[in-house]
Amino acid sequence: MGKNSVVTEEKKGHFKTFTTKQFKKSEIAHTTIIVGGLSMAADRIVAAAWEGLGYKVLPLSVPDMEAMQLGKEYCDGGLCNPTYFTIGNLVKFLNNLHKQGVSKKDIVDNYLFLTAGSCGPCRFGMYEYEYRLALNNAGYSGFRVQTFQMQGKLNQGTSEDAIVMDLQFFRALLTALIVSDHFNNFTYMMTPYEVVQGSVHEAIDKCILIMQEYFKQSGKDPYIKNFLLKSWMNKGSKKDLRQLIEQLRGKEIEKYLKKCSNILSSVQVDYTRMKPKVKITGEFWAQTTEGDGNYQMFSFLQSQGCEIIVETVSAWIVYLIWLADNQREEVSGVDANGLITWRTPVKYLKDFYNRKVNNLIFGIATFFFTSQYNRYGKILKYPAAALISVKTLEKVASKYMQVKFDGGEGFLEVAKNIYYTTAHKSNMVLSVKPFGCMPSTISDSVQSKVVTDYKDMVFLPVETSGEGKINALSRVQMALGEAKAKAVQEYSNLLAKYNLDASKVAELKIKFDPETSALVKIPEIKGYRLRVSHYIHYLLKLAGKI
Amino acid sequence: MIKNNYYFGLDIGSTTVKGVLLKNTNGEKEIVWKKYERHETRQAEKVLDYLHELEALFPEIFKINSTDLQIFLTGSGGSAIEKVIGAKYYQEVLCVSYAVEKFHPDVNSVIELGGQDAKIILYKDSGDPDQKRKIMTMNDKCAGGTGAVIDKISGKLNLNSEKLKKIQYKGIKLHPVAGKCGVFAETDINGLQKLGVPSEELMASLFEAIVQQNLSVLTRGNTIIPKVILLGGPNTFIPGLQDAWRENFQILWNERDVELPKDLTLEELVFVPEDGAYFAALGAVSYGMVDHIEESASLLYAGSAKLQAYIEERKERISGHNSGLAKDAAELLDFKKKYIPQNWIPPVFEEGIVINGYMGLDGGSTSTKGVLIDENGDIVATEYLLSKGNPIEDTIQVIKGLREQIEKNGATLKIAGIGTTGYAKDILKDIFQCDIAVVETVAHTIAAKTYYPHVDVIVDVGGQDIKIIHLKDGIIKDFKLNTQCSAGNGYFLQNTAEGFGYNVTEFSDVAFSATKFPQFGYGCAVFLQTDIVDFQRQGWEAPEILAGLADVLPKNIWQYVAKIPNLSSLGKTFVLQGGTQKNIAAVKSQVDYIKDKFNGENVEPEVIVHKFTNVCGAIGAAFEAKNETVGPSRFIGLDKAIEVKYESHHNEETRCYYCKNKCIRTFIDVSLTNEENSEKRRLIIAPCEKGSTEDVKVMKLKKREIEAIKSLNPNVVEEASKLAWKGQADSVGNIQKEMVINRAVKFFSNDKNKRKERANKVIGFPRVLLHYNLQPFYTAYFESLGYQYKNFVFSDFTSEKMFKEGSKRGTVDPCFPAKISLAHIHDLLEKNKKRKIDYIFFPAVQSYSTGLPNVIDNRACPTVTGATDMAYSAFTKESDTFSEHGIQFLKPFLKMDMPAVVEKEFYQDLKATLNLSVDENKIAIHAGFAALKEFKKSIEKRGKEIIDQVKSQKRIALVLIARTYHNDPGVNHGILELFQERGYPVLPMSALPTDKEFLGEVFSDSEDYNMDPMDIDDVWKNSFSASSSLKIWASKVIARHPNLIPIELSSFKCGHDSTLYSTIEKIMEKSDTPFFSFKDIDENNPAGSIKIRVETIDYFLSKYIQKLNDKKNLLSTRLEKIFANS
Repeated sequence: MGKNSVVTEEKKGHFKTFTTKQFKKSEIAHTTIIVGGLSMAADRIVAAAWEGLGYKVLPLSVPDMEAMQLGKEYCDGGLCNPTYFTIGNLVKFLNNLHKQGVSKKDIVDNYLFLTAGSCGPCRFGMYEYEYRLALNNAGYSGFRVQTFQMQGKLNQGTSEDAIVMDLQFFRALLTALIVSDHFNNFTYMMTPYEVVQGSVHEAIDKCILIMQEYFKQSGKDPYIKNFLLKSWMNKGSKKDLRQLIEQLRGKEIEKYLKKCSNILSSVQVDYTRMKPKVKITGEFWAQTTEGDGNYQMFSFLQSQGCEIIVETVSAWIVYLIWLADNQREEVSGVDANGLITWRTPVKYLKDFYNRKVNNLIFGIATFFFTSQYNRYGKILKYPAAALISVKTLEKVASKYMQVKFDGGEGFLEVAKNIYYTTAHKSNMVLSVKPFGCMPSTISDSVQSKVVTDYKDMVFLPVETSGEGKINALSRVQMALGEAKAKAVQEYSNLLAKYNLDASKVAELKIKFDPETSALVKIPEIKGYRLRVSHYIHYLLKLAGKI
Repeated sequence: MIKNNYYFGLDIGSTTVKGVLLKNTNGEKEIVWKKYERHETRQAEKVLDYLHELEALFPEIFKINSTDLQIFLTGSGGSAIEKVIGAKYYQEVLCVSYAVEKFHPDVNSVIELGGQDAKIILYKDSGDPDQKRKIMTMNDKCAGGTGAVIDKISGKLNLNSEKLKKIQYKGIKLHPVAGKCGVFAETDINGLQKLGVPSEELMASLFEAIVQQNLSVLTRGNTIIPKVILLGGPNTFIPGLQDAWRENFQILWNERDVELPKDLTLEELVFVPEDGAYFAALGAVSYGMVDHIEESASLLYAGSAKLQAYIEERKERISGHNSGLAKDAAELLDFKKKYIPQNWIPPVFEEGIVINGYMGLDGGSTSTKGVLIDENGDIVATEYLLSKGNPIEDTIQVIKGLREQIEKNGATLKIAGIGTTGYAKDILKDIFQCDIAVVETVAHTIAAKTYYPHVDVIVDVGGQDIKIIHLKDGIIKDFKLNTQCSAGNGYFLQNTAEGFGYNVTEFSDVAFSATKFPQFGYGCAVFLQTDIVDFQRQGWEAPEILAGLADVLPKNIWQYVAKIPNLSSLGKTFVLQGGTQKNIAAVKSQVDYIKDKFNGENVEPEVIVHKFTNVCGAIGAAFEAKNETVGPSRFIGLDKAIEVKYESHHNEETRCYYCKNKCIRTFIDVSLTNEENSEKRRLIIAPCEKGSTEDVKVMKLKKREIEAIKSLNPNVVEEASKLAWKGQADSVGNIQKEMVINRAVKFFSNDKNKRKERANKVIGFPRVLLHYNLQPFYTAYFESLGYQYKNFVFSDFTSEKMFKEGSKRGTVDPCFPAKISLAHIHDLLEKNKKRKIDYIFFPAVQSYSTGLPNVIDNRACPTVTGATDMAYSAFTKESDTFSEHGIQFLKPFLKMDMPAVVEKEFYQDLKATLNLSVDENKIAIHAGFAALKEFKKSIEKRGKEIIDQVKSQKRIALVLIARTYHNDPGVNHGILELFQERGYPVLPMSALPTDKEFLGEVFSDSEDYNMDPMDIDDVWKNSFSASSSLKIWASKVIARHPNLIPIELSSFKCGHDSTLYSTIEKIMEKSDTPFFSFKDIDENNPAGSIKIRVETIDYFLSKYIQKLNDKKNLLSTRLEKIFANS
């Protein structure tokens, strides 16, 4: 050997990254858009919303361990598990199609995956490449993956693109996300208290079908009389304006949401059950998924006797608006390429004016989105919690962390931990994040100081990697032990205060509130975290004892 | 009526079951029965044994529906059977805490080490004098720093529990061993063992490593306050480990001024209680008794029969792979016929025959192999020996064995040449004076090609290493080696089989007997170990587990180590070799895997098991000896070799003082016979060349030689790492002159007092992360404001010592480069004791400029940006350490890619502290950017010089593709220096010239014409991360330059790097540029595996250079034309 071994030939040729063909308007009819990666409710409703825009859309099922293994096989090594789970889930779906007899060529020609892109700075920003790499490795070379930027401007893409990312597109998406957030809130809020086991899921399933029906027909131009529109407006602007007006008026969606509300009202709950509350925070995907991606944490916590407070996608959207506003603010008035130059009074005023206008625009955007969220909650009539303002969260986190730090969840994990503890919203905060998640690692390091400062805080970060489920759940049980002890203390103190015991509470319920609908709003009493505590006060009030 | 006079607590852990029966007499609880036994991974069965015993001993208590008994469970196996036996399960940390609170209320800290868990419970002030606050932490899924690591290593060192108890810690020499991960620890221990470090030192070092790991991560930055209680099996039964805790606590308490009760001794402050191993079980009872949940009162004992039934039936409930490794007996028979290599019958040589043989010796990590070939290249004898721990001893046995095989009937063996390979190849070569030492990769390739010339892919699975060698037209094209992480390799399979009581040779028969098996997740061996425990808990039996492990092996090879999804792209002939391929069950799963990957392709793969699979390395060494030995062999001779006696020393006396590192070396004194006056030689094994002699004169000579090599082959990475910390007076002076004149700003006269005051202030800078590329800016900025460079204090370069001493405040476990931030801040605080520091400057840098056009963003990695907050939190967590030291911690948030924003940020964040004026801030920012430009320019200039040089000499330079902080010698583990010493100049990416002339030449290919040579959009669309974009750009340049070869370094847990792996590889692959990488580098320094890689790479590069020089027609190539014009 040796003598004949020459390692390489001269350098030749150069690599070009993967490119895929455009999804053209002419292909809409025979192309199925695949979506996935959010909660089950969100994926189903978002799919319906885009179907309403005239596309064929198919939501993926929740990623499982098989999906993760496929992701690991076809992606780069060392990625975080949301990458493996979500990409593997797509490969798994395509493999199944192929097994059912669809040729790989047909799959590449007739399917497309649509997902939210990101502008970094963690691995998430590079996901798009990993999708292409994995699909290429799995034999679906040329499969189209299209992204849209949640922080991007409207009208992303070109006029040839089949998916027109205009106001209609984002309106459908955001509305669907708000609705699914409410459904998720309701599900996790009520399940621990449902009188008839399974009734919450049954009701929500019906509601999802109703909203799917709404979205499938709502994509068409809303019926707004033309006299509302000025004749000088061009066609696109007219359409956009119609969309905005429809969104604000929202009569059509109101009709459907009311139907849902009627269904939800039939769910009976029993709030006399003592359920420690666990707020879920963490990395966006890990805290949202309902499957193996976070060790099926939600159902595990419920099995341990807890009520869980899930995070909404809406809260994330409000944060994105805040972030965009702040980032604009930071560079306003300066030439990013040079040093600050002296500004004339006129320039100064102009900058000041521009800044204020921008603040106003972002303020309106936040207000508009938040008010939509609150409005749907009101129509559904369930005891929805309002979205927490990012400014409130910023205030509590700024002592511990640079709020300008914007990777992943930025300062949100720290802020929510403090907020939910100090505002008596939960007994424990559980942060779930993928193994090696870079931004979450930083917030965890800061949380260590936070926990030291807030002496009644029960906080646990859990890294999810797909494997090692037993250890992770055991650690959750460890923290839950503390949370339960605190919950028991609150409950016992309350009973002692009013000279009650569990049977007396049951008697009060039978007498004054024998059948509690899930839509009944129980006033929250300051200083108490448990739903049962608020409910006992409610019963006592009904009984005229307080 | 429920009487509840007896409480049974059971702690069903990962390795043991602890049971304790308490009798309640008038409120007092007395232990009437207890047991602590290893369950050998049969948790439920062990519980059943206990129940049988108890039912026999206490028939009135342990009867079905007994009203006099309550059972409480804890431990990893508890929840699965709580309902089966009628018990209540509680989480183990809670249980331990309840037991401690009950039995030792004066304890403030609890350290419990279990089989796979490590737990720390701290009792802190809650603000309420009646109640302490409980902070509980537990390890994540990784069992690093737990009893499992002790078990594994003590097994390896043949230390049974009695011997383990006698291992001391105090006064024992400690060596660097990674406690973070069991696999890393094993790698370190392996290396040290081969250097002759005695077992007691290895074990004591492991105790130290475990304590350090738990202190730096599991305490989450909290100070352990006495009294400390040590619990769990390892803490209870190993006095050496107890001492390790005590000694480390003492250091910590001194450092953090923890007030200690004067009346207590250290043994009382850190103590092991009676029944320390039973605390979780006792706690389960304590917790159960106060648990409000009503159901616990109504739980009634269900009897052992129910558990028995559960054990018998559980098999049906578990799901896994629904067939065995083979579909049926016929398929298995067919497979075995085809793939089991035919037994090789060694030739017998009669008296009088003389064999002129070439010997190959392979000193591997877990076995030693020997082969003899005759002059025709035919194998005449082979020998395989599982390592007994010492490679010299093993080799003597192998040589003996080989000789015996030839000479047993009276023939004579003469050695015409002898070659070595494997981990121990250099020691063996020196001791036995062999003719050649062959790099393992090369030896294996020779062995494959000799017997199967058409081989495309060699899959070598040895004890510790997995190697994949890809050949194209018979020439090595690429290779993959596992990193230090040994993912389910041969040694792991062997260990697991032995754990089940099977000899490794029985593995395949046992595994084939399984008709279904569990599916393991591939990857880290530690996680596989965790899975094994879990699967057994579910009811899987040994044959099924072994089948599952055989099944996961190809996934570990192809998906974890090689990361090659499309096997057909490599070719069609796969040769499997290495000791593990003797295991036909493992071969079956590999063959199936490879065939499955060809499914749908038009080609049928040919998978061959090498006919001498377990001695391939030795075969390669023998053939290379035959090829390369010119004249008589240097070998000391068979008689002498067999008589070799040696003594190994690795202690204070072997310490080298030739440089400030002061490493401990290994001396091996070899005598060739037993006789008094026999020839004696001393071999010195040292981490560097200088240390390989005792004679100062020789050392100086060697040093001069090394310096000469180094000066011919500059290491610009090292130069850049030093240059970053220089003063920037020139840049500052120029800018100030320019700006004052141009803008007529009289800032000097503004406030002389202010500048005078600044001149005396001392600023500390940590030598970490982005400081390696931005420090010139910071230096110039502060100098421009009037701070004096002489008053700048920099933390030391990262070292093992610094990391060990300074990282105890760790709260999380990020990548190593970020983690060391804490150690650097700690170092500055230490320096503050000698010289008062006023400020520590550690900005959070969110972005910085790369000079690349059209990128989406210039982000730093979030962990790097956040390292500032991480360090600040750690040092202000319990109290504000900075203010206690009179230091202000300056941590502005910076977007360094936007000058105007940076100006604003510096001003806003520092104006109050530094009393800044707008003007001086502006000028200082200008000075900073000017310094940065100069810094970059000077490194590029060096780069240009060296590239020109290697080009004219037809040599190559290596370019480090890595993040800037890999310039830190403590992070890059001196890997680059190893290349420099082998004659390669090394450049950082920042040394690649960016001038039009250079880039114009490099990017003159027609496909590059329309592209800005700085643009990376053609290969990388997601250009968010600054460093990633630079790595991609550097890769593009290297791929187009024949004299540049990339060496990629990447740290464990680097999220940004992980997304680049395949792109960089593809860039290199497409241009046929040799590409070498060291991935997942971490805090430990696996010298052995680094050495193999460096040697292999050196071999590859020598061939590449040979080609550069040999190929006359290179002159006519595109590149040569370019250079001719330049």
